[in-house]
Amino acid sequence: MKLQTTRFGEIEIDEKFCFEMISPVLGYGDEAKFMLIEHSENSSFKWFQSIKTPDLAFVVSLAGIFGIDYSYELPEDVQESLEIKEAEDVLTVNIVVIPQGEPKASTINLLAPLVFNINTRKGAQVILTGTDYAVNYPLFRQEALC
Amino acid sequence: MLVLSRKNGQKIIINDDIEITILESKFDHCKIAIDAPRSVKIYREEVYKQIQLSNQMSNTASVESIDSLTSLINTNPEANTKINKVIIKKKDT
Repeated sequence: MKLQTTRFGEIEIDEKFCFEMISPVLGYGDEAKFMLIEHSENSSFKWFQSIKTPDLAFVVSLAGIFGIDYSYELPEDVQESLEIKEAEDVLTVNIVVIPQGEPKASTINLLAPLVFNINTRKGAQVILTGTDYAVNYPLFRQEALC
Repeated sequence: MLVLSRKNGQKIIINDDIEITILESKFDHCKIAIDAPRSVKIYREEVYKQIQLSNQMSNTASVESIDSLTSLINTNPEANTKINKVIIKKKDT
């Protein structure tokens, strides 16, 4: 089956990389199915592309790639709804914002990661509680802007 | 929209399983307690909106913008990959 996308043209759907959101990406409640697409080989970034809407794709990455110590406790209700038993069942990605023309001002959302059960390929955007993680954590420190 | 007037200590019941209590209210500040099943999601509006906006902004990125960001990361000497850690609480059985 083919998938129409605005950014990448027509691509083949690979079920292995398709995910169903049982709790939505906030603001996109009517979008349930997505596919993770590698930006390029060995890239630090992936795209979380909607199956339904060609021009809807979020940039995602792993906090650790940027040297961020990222550890969180998965809320029990999410554990239950995603049927997660072990930490090994979990894939966590964080949504990245790249302001137009200002890549150095890019931020990563550490407060509300996308959490998946890699066995069932079901996922949720989870708002963590009891942490100081920011929604818009800068990827580059301020002095790096000079 | 339903608008109700409540005194401190009074409650509102929603559906049979959600109970909202006005703990304390004075001037422009109000403390409320919400008793609801765990499956009911409760957020402060400003946090919810901030995440929504951040999601929307992520969707504006172009393929080229990732390429320019990638070139910055590769030249960043501080970059060292760490592993995400997820803590799963085991229930006592």
